[in-house]
Amino acid sequence: MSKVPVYLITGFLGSGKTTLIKRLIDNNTGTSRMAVVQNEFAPSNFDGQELKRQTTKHFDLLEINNGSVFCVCLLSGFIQSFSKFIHEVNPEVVFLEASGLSDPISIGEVFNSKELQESVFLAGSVCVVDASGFLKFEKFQQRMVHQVQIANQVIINKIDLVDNCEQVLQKIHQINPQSKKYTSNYCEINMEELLAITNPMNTSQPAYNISAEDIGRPDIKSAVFKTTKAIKEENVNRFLQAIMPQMIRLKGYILLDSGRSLAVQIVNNRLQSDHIDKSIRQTEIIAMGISMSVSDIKTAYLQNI
Amino acid sequence: MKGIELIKKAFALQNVERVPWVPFVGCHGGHLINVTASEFLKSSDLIFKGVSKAVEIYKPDGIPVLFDLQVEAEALGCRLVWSDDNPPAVVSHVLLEGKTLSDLSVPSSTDGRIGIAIDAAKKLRKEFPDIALYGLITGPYTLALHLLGTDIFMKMLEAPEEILALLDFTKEVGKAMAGYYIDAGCDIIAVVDPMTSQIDPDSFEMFVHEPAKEIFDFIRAKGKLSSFFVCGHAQQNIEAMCATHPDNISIDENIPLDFVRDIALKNEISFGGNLKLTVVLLMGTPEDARREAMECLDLGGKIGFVLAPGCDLPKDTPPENIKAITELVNDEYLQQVERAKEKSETEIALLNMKDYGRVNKVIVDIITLDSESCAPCQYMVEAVKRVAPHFEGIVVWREHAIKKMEAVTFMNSLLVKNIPTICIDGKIAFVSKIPPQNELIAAIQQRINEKFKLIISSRRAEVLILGKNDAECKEAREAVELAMKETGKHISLKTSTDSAMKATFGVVNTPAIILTEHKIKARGEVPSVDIIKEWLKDI
Repeated sequence: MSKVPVYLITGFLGSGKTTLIKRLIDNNTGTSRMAVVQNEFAPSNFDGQELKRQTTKHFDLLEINNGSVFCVCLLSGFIQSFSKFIHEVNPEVVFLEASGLSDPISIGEVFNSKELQESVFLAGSVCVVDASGFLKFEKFQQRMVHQVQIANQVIINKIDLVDNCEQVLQKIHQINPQSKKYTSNYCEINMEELLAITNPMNTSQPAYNISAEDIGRPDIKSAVFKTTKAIKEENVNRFLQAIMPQMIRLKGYILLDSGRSLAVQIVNNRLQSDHIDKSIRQTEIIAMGISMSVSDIKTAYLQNI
Repeated sequence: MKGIELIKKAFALQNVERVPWVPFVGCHGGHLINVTASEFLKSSDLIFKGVSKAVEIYKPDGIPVLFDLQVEAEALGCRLVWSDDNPPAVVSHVLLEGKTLSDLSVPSSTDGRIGIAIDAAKKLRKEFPDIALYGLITGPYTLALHLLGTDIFMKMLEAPEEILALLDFTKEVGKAMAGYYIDAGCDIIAVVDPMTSQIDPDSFEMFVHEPAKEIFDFIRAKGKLSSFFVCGHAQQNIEAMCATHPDNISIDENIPLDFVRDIALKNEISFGGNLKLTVVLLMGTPEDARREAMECLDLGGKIGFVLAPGCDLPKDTPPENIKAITELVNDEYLQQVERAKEKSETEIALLNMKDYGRVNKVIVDIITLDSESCAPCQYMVEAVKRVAPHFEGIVVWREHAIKKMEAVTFMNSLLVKNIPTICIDGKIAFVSKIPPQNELIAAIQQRINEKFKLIISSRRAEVLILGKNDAECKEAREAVELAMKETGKHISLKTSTDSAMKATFGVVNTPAIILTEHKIKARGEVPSVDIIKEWLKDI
């Protein structure tokens, strides 16, 4: 069985995550085997079942009824249910809707597990932001900031509710300079564009329209690497060059020995790095590559600190 | 020293001879006695049995009675959904279902499952008087979130006074719970408030500071110790947490341990954590767990540090992983081994050991830390020393003390993971345990037999007879041929009267008989210099 790309959809409560998933499903023309995973009890009226009623397309649904994922201690049950689900429904693409309160990096780390490495890989992360609430909540809601930090794309949603979303865009750029940003109402954006970037092999086709052979190479893997060890700024390039040949895409933040954080990204064999204002205090890297593992990244990192 | 005393010393920021170890066994206790999480968390007998089992196999210095942050919410009327593998989840929020704050009252010690928890605490206290018993209570902010749901975030902005009143109530619940656990005999009350990781320091100060501080003051007034547990990305709040005056702060893998250490010690507060739960303890191997624990021990240091997982152990955590940490904590020497291995981690060029041991003798390698300073290593070396003379020169033994880098390379090349280890001809034979004399002899003998087979099957030889003239050669040739006949050997035989040939071999007096043996040592590759050296030593 070829490996299944999983797209992590994050966003604070009520930002429009489920709406985005509905659009991703409705706009799909490539596959009939889509799956959605939701990991919270949605007290709102727009949960997985409602989603099923609203879309005409078929998809498989897994609800992880484990309350909000508070912390890493509740993720173990998730691995088992998720792995079983993948084997049963054999989807071609999975949209994983994270709870608004969950920590996206911890979810990413779950994909390092042997059990999941066999069948799926983390293909990308899209964060939905409520334009009307972001600036209000951003200050005190730390988790929301973190979700923006790790996203490949950020959708600034509900722009009708604000006069001007420049400030929100600016703030998001400060947090994550390398993310692709969209503005929308009801997550109405050019899905093809979104999915083209989300596509791990970065062709012009939407991700899930690629044949299984293209993206489902048996050794495509995702890895999340975290460490508190700082690296010298002059060594960052050497570290990234060392792992570059295996990388399809990499995104993350590197803790420099000066205490600052560097946002880094590898796309299409191109390396990009930007200083950011606020230190993330540790190194966090989400990578997707061919025949690589967390220990490859770790080894290269430790050799260059 | 008793576990409880060790923990008290750490909490008092005194230097400890060994870092105290507190595995947070929650529903993992159910795994240890083969019951589901929901069975486990609903029965004081099962909690007692599961935690007792954990004490037996993990030898902790302290342990929680119950790790379930839903107990108070359930007693206050929130609905739970139970799971076999996890603690239950709160699925209804009582303040969103028609009730107001004034309808709620502080639960008694018998409401909901509180009685079960208290009963289990009493039993555990009686059974284990020497270890620190942790009573875990739901922190005021997390309990408020259970009661009100995620509306709390909006209301913190729009109606802060309502949230302040709510936290005033959850604080009273916390104090009551702390009192119940203290009366049941707990030594340490841990206020577990994971949801505070969601908010910033200003909101923490505004909403959480007072309630948390009052709970800690209450615990202190009762003469007991306190800890503030948080999980998730809560770096931003560590200072603010210290300002509430707990005796200890415990964190998970999302916060760098050295970061918390520096802030906590500056505030004269002890700290604990932060073994990685999912990636290492649940999914990793005992080897991973040891390495992770070593990293924590080195970061934490011996002043004010308590080694613990970041949070509740996942139910199905392999007990071997936790036992590996217990071993490490209690064994200074294992820690040294772990450190030596860590040093070598930044990939060293490994030797190709494919042909190692293909010499006539049997090579016994003992990988040690250093037999002069480490008792188990010393015994293992002595065991080999005693046995070697039985084989009268066939067995060569060497010690590789991994305090030297080349020994580390050698160890990694042989894929040896534990110290001390005995390898026979490059194959791991005895790990950690000192073999009894007869077992060691048998293992070496077996290798000799194998080798003997190899020698027989790979022999290629040639006899060369050098003489002045044919007659001289003939006499020698007949003697050799007779010898071959009488031994059953058949070896190709050549004669030569060429004087250049005699010069090559340095033969002056004839006749001379030269036996040449050919052995294939490597096929299709160039072996490493070290291996070739091993062969050369035999010549």
